[in-house]
Amino acid sequence: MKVEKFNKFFGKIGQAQIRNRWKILAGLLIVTVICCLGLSNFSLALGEEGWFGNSDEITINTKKYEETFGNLNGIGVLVVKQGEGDVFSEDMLKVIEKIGNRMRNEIPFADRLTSIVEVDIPVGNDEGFSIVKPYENGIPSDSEGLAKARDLVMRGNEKTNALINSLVSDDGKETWISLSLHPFTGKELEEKYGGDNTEVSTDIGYKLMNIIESEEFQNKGFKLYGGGMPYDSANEDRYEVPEYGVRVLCSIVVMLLFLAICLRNVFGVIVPAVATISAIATVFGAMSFFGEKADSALVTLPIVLGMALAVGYSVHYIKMFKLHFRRTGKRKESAIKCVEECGWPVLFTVLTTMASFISFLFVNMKPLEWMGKTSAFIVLAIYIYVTVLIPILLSFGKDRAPRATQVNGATKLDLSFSRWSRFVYNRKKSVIVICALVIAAFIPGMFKITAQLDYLTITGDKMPYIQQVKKMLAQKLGNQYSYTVMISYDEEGAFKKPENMKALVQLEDYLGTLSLTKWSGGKARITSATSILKEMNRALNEGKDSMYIVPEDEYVLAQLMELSSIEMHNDFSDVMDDDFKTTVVSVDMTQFATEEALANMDALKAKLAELFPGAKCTLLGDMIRYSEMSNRIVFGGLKSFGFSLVIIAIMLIFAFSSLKLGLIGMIPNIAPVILVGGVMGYFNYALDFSTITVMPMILGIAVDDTIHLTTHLKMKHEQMGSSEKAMETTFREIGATMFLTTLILCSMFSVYLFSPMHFLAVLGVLIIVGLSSALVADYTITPALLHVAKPFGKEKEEV
Amino acid sequence: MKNHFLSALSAGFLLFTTCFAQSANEIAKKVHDLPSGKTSSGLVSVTLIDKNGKTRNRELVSYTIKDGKTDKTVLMFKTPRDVAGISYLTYDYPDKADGSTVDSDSWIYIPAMKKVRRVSGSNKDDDFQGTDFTYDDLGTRSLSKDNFALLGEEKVNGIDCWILEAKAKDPKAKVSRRVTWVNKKTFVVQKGEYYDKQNRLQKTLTANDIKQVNGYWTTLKQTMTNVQTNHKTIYEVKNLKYDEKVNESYFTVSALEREQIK
Repeated sequence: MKVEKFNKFFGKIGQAQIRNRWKILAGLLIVTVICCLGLSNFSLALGEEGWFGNSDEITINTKKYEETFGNLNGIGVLVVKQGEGDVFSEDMLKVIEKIGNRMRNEIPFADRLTSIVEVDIPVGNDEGFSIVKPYENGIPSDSEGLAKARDLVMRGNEKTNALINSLVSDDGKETWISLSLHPFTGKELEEKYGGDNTEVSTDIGYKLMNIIESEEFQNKGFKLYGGGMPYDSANEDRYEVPEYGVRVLCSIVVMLLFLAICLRNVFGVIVPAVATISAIATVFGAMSFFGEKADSALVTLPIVLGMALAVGYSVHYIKMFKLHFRRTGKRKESAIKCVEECGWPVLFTVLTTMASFISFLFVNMKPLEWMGKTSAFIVLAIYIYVTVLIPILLSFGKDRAPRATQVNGATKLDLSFSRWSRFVYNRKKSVIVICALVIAAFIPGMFKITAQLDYLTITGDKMPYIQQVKKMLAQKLGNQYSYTVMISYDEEGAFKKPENMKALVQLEDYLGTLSLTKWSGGKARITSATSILKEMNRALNEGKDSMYIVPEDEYVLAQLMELSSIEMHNDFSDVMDDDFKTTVVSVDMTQFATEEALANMDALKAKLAELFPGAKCTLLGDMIRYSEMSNRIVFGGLKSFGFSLVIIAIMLIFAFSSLKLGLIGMIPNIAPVILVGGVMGYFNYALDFSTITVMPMILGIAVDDTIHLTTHLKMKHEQMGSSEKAMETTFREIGATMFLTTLILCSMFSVYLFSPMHFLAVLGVLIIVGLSSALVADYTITPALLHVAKPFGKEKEEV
Repeated sequence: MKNHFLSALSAGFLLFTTCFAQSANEIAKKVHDLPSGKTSSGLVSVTLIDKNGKTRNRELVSYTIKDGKTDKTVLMFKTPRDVAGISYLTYDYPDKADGSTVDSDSWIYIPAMKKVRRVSGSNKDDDFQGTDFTYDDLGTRSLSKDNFALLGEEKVNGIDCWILEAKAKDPKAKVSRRVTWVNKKTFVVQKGEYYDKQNRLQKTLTANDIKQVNGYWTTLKQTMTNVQTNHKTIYEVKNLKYDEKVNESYFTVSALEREQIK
């Protein structure tokens, strides 16, 4: 396909654009205003709730869990006594009671509160048993009463007392106040939160924050740490969202700065800026109108990218306009000419960039799907706004006399790029060898890439709340990650069978041996029905510690379970369903280390299949979500990258009507991807939800310069018939623009480098490495390969 | 003339109702003191319905007797199979002269263990047998636990009712406020609303079948719905008999041990 044909077509579009400029401006304004109305519905999806779609198996399993056992998420406050004494003093108990009361009274959807002040303890004695509340008659003020209550809570040891090293640490210095939550449904959800679960979760987190940070609980004698998914969401909203805002503002400043420097007139700054902001606002407005929530962690990416690309496209158009305007002095003709010459290459770069973003739909994770979809729309919108507005607005004004001082309108910089082209032509083989060696050096690094989903590591220590979480984790009872095993039989009463309960006990023992299971003191942090059954059995057997076991007799076990379901209904229903066919085991984890977590999960799945052959076993919770995310990130990332690679290669081959040219065009674009992969491996930048976006994105953006270069080159070759001359002219005409657009892109993403959030800084490094190496490849290996391969056919001189 | 007549009639009616209006405390006491027989026996059917509509049923035989001022109750599970035979014996004592409550005595018999165990410390505020009712909801909650107020009058299913509010004195009480619609004639509760500590509606009570049995007004079927969890319990009494002779030996620990209750 001849480039001339495309150019003629775009020339006609340019003419139509200038002819109907007022109508087009009015139409675009109306569309923008309508779409921007949707911005009033704009909201961010916080936390991990938005990671999986409604039809995702993880979401379906979570719903199944919540139907039987209620809300999977709860909140808690870890109270840590500082200095001397423990949490059983009168003052500390009063603090715990006050915090508990405030949680119960102020937290929406509050269900049941658990704390040492409120706990029910079944105590067996010679004639029977009683359910004792150690502080039923209030918190004692005398030392004898306090000691008596403490002894009751701390009776026995961690092996015979379910509360020790679970609710309260064995040294009595730490204790949890936890609140379970009702499912987020009903009138309250609709009336107060407009049916939005994420809003409830964030609100709950903020309310907990208010309690923890309130004046009455600021005391050197103790420290309070919040926990639970809603608390994390509120922290994210409080600390991360403003940070994203700062980054976007910084990139706007960088964008305006660059436009001012590059184009050196007010018009050149205002028009692209207005086009960019309108395009981004239009896409966000339209998406919000359809109820699409923006992902908080990735929201800046399409915005910054959109701005960067807009500047790039604008520079191409404005530079081309200026080139012709300098030559001819005719404004309207120059505007049409810039559409004619830039229209096709810019559209083609838009299509390849969109293809690379559409590839994220293969990752099967909502934030990445959102990012891919939104970026693709923004790229398209930016293209429409820039290519419609810039030629039209440039066409307004007076003509002036042509400036013939420079060769074909070229500047000194343009001429130096022309000289560089000759340099590469003379040393083409050396250039190819050096480039190949550099690329080869980075390949081993690619195999060292790991996946990382621990948000503490991803976010980094510079964020204040991450520091707090790490301090909390350093405590004996500190806990951040957990998961739940749900075991479900079809047959009612399955868990009344001793063999199944025995398997449950064995499972708990096994869970204790997994490397990531959290231990407090000598006790693995595992919660299941067995602790209630053991407590009940002991209480019904005169309180003998030897009876702190799950009975093996079928009749006794069945009645004990029924009795537990009746007498300790609230606690028992958290771990066993009403039909005794589904039970859950909750496991706390020390940390989330991706590789290890995946290994733990695989081992656990095998053990579950062995212990419960007839049951359906489901894993739920943070670890499972994170492990699944790791899987999807690695495989989804590969799929996404593979898709981008194939589709861009096909597009290049199709556009250039040449397999050889298409494949050569791919080489300088794969090179930066290899470089980025190498940097990730060598510098230990793991694949995470943000870094996964880099490779397909680099491929999509880096190919832009190759397209500009190759299209221009092909066009010049068609005109001149000599690849050496065509290359020189191409470098003279667009070499500087390519440099400028890459510089702009890198500068705009450099705002990420200074972010206190680790993943944003890494994102900045990788994008800059990728884009700058792509430019270097386009200046070196691309022209060298084109000179060697001669894909445009015979040279005119040879004919 | 007609208007004057109507005004006079309204004023008269107002005076009449004011004179006969009863205070909230009086109404609460009448509800509390509704007469029942010296003995009673029946089959209690408890149906639990979860939010997905799945139902489970338990049946218990129930015997009560008034022994002086002490109310003695025996409950024994008939179904489901695994709980059959588990029996409870409870002695409820009247409030003290100063209005304070006296703890009940309770025993449980577990056939699988062949043991009677004394149960103490369970709270009247706790759920009854894992249902949506508390022991208080099904029994007679001590008047000393609440402050009463009359919120107004309203018809429920065509029956004139007082709207009685009972606010728990205990700030830790799980149910902070109960609003009941009390039949003006019989003082039987027609429906109720129960509010949690954040004053959010937690449960609703509906009396489905109110009849006079042996001359005593009795709610034979009532439904408690927890609107926060969408779980509900239907509590139904069948074959209810008042003032018929019941075996007094049933109300002893040894009767539980000997599995004497039928």
